[in-house]
Amino acid sequence: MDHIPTFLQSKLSLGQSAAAEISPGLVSAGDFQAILPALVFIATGTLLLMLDCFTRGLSHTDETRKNRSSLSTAINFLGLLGTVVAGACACASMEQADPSLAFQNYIRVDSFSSAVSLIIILGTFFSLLAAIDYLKRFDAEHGEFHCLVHYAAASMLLFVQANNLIMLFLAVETLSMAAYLLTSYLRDSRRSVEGGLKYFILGSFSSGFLLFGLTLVFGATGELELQEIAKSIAGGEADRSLLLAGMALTVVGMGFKVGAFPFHSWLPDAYEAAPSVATGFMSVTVKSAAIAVLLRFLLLAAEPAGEAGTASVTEILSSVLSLLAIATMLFGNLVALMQNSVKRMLAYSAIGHTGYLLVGIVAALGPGGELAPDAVIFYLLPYTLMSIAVFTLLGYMGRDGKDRELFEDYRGLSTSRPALALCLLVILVSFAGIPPTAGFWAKLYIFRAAIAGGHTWLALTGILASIVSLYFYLRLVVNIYMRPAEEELDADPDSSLASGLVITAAAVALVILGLFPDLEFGSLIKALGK
Amino acid sequence: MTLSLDLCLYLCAAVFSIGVYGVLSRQNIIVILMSLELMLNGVNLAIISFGRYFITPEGSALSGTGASSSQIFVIIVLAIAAAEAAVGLAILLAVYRRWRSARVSDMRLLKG
Repeated sequence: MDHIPTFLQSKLSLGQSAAAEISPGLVSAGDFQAILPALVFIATGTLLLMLDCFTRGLSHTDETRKNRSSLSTAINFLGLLGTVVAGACACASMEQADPSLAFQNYIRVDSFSSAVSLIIILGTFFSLLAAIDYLKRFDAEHGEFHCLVHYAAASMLLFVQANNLIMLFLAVETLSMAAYLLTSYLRDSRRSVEGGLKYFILGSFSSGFLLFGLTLVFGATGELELQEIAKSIAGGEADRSLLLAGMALTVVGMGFKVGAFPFHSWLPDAYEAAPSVATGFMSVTVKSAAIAVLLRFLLLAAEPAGEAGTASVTEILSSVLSLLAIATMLFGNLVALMQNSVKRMLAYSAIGHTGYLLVGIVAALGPGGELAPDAVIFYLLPYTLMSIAVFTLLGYMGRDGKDRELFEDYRGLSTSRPALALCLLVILVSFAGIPPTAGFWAKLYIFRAAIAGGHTWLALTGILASIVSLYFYLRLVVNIYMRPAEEELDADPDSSLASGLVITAAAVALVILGLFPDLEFGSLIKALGK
Repeated sequence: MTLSLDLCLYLCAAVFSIGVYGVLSRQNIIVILMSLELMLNGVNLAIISFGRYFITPEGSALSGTGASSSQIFVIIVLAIAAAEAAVGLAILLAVYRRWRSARVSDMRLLKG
């Protein structure tokens, strides 16, 4: 198992002895401790749903309306509190250095899953914070929103901790279902439900492929546990043609979930249709979880190079993935050039960012890819901050139940909201990957890992695509700073405090991360157990 | 008479492909939902046949833990399919209230 990075290797002896000691059907307290953050999310989600159910349906007198507003404050507060508690639990589990297994090896907690969990929880926290004003402004304050976000977050945590094909599929389906419902959350809006339906059909379609792929991998190796699958493949016991077909279908299914090029068609529609806060939430957390799981799965299932003349399954997959990465980077960034709507532009640029992450995965699969997993995880952190902040801003600009989506709508923002415009400038510069921001380091680490692994072409294409992306990010900056406003932005609705907080916090964090990248990077490497 | 694993897998692939064809070619959302179910059930057949294949005639597992878990896998996939159908029908209801139609070709607000 030399080809598998150390942080993914289990103490195999530990896993086996643990399996031998536990009699089947027995669940210990330690098992629940391992999934504590997910449990907290599920508990708060359910609590909020109940709270909303039992207090709804009162008549609309002034007094009940007042009660309603204090109730929604309570719901917001509880939702955020649950996220903070889950984050604290995840931090606590990060302290432990050794990977631990739970629920008869269905769940595996290690530094990799803990790091990704923290990023997901951070994204959830920011999304819920931004949702406070957004839902109020769109008059859509229902407990379901928080409930769905919490359930989605819980299933994403279980997804990155999954150590078994059953768990993997169960978690990915749960999180997808929450995402479909979040997309069609504004159910009085035609656009929202149409986007939700399209997302549902294509998402379930891709789940079918993913399940078929996982089944074929199971058929090829006879194992459901990831570590056992890795052993079986490394030992050369697996059926090669079944394995290749299974891995290819798995990549197709996961490609849909992350929005890689030929499988991206749901993404712009779903992003455009979903309420902006939900778009921000889905764009970062679903993608982070799916990329992390794809990375772990491909690394574990890596087949060592066979005898000369025959390409190993991993080599074939790696060349297919590098083609996908190139196509995704170019397609996402080139199509984003042509968009008139800021939200669609961001959706296509999100496809481009998936391409950069795929470059990192390809680099991790090849020889000399030790840097790549860290680079991918580091990329997810600034990406989470940028993406949530920019979608929060879209929601913040929305008025009268509609998002303001055209580039022209942002004209003159620098005069009417100077502080906001400055934050947005930082975020867009970071998106484009220009130095003193974290976005620069994120791309640099990915491309450095690609070059170290000998994938110079991938890195070159990535750099080219980043240059293309400058145009559409800076187009928004030009509209903000250099064009006068056609109409004055109306006065703030009573509370935009939370949105402002999210945007400012993200901008400040991006600059700090950009100035001291080693700070975070070093601690992440340490967290990854290197 | 016992079926060989190959034959079972061909059957699964056929059922799965019919589902894929249905999703891609049909306009009615209900039929699309049924085709999605067909895809998952095709895979279910594959899981069962693999599980059977990994058990020796004497009833002991040929390799690993996979054989005994495959039945659990199938049941969980069935449950997921049911949940997915529920979510799909809920979205379909919301769509029908807005459009008074259950055909995908009527929905063209979004460009993709």
